[in-house]
Amino acid sequence: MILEVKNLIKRYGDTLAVDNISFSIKEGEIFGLLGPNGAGKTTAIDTVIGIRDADKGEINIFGKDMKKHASEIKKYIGIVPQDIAIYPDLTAYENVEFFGRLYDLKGSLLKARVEEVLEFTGLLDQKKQFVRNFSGGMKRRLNIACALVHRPKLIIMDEPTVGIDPQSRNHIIESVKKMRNEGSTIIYTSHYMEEVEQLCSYIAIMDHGKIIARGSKEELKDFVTVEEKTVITLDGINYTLVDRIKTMDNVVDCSVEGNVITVISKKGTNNLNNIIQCIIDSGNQIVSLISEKPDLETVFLTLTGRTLRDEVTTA
Amino acid sequence: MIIFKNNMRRLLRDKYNLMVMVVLPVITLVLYVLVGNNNSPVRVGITDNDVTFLTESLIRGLEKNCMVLFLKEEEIKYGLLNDEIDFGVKIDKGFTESLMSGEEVQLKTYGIRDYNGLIPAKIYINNFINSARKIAIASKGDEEEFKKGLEYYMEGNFETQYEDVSSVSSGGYYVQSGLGIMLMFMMYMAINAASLIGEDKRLKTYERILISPLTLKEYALGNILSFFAIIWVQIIVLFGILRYMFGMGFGSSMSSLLIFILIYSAVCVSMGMAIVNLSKNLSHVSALTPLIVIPMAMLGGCLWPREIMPIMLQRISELMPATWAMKGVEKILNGGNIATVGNEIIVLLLFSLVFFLVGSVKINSYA
Repeated sequence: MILEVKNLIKRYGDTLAVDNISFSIKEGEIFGLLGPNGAGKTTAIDTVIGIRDADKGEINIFGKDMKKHASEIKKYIGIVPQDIAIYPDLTAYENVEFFGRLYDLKGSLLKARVEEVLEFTGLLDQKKQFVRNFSGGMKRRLNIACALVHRPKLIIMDEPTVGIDPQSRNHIIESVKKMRNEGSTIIYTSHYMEEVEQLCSYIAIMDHGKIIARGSKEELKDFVTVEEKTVITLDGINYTLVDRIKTMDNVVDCSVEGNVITVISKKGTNNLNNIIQCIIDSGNQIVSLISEKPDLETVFLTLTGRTLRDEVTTA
Repeated sequence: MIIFKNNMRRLLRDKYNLMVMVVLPVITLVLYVLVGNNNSPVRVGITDNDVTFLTESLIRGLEKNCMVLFLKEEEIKYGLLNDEIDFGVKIDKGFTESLMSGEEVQLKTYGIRDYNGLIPAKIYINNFINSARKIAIASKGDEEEFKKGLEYYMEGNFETQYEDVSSVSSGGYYVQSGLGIMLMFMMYMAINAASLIGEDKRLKTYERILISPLTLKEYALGNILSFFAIIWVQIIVLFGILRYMFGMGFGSSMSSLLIFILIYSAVCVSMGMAIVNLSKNLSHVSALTPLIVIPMAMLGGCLWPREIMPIMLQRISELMPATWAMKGVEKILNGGNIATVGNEIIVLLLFSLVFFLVGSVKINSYA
């Protein structure tokens, strides 16, 4: 295991920001920490990496106790903080160079690494520009470059795409995918379920400081799915067909709206072939067919009764 | 050294810092010199209530070295307060009679500031009175004999020559003022430099740095070294400007003066750290800086002599590090050296210690 967290608790006064959470991350895994704003993701990350002291719990990184071996462990961790943490009065190159030096990089190696990460984040052409003139997206990318310059074994990305334009977001997502393909181990926190769904192999959902569910994407979806929905658009409606589908095994309901019929089946029955055969037998043409599965938003909604983007007031 | 280098790059690149470091002190000095041209003769205001051959001789001799203005008694105070005269002399009715009778007489003199430029005038007056008294004793009350003796004295080779042992030019007061302005801008610069820690917190780079293998101690040390370095750069630049642009001499103990001011820089740096760390944010620091630095400079004698202030304010000013810095500067300019300002150094180091403790406690608690 690259990271093991056991029974972590962090309080701010009377507020329990992180409530007895445990999780572990394997090498090469992209671990998604999903939850709405204020769920406790950033506090959990800050506590894991030692910015804040834990009230209770064990944190082992690279098999070593974080409390005892912090300075050694920190050499191999790269953090992309949620807030952009770079110097606006320095150039892009100088920023990355500074953070590289903090990790003991020097001379030609430092220069090569700086150029490498600037190219990776698409900022090489702007390396001599002052950061104060950068767009929000460029700053976010530079924020990432500064975390990668020392080639960390564990990368922690805390909401790396907050408040940026779609182009920069796509660039960041593609960069993370590239890192995933290169075998990097990443903790990725976000309240954008699409990102987590796209990138992460293992996901923990946090709310009110607790991990309320965890598993692979499929496991999480299966965890909440009770029914499967198939939406079929036909060239015309034959009401006999609707009645026939309704009487099929494992079909819970079938409704019609215009040329579109919606079939609800029991979970895991895989009766899509039977439905298609039934339509063909009735002489209708299928224009389109969508077999809908629940997304992580649905999972979160099912678990908490609110959406990921609901405003919350807890810290 | 990583933090040190990064800070130096940030500080030297910041136009506002360059303004505080060099441009504003130089502008202030230029204005100071223009307003108070140190080449002008000493202006002596005289109220002569006696009007005798003796007082006329005294005034005639004084006019050789000074610009003499005849004023009424009540005008002397006004003239001093409005910087129309540098020195006031009041000759009471009966002065000549008392002197001729052999009495120990003295003139009433008035001044707001005591600086080297006044010394020739004071020496002349004292010598004149002492000599006149001796002539009066020798003439044994004979007025004609006394007049002859006095004329002989006035026609003689008597001439006041004053040479400052510290080699400071007659514009010593302006040298002191120049250094006072420098000390004030050192405080500004130190607070600006210390604001880098606040800036790191605001930019969140502080947390990011502490996530790296760099320890809090290394971070603090790098910062402190850079604060000292930038102030030392300022000291060297301003010393150079005072010396070569304004032609100011710093006396025979130039090295003592430099060492003393370097010691004072410790007060500035620690005070800057204390202010920044006690402030909630950088806006707070910006608002506090002039509220702290300007009164401290005023009370401490950086902008004018402390002696012109009421006694109560002078007592309060003893609590200001700038006061002790100016006391030390004055001593060294008047021929002292680093050994003669031991008390001032001890007080300044105590101020540094207190400020440093106040500043560092908050730094540690933040992490």
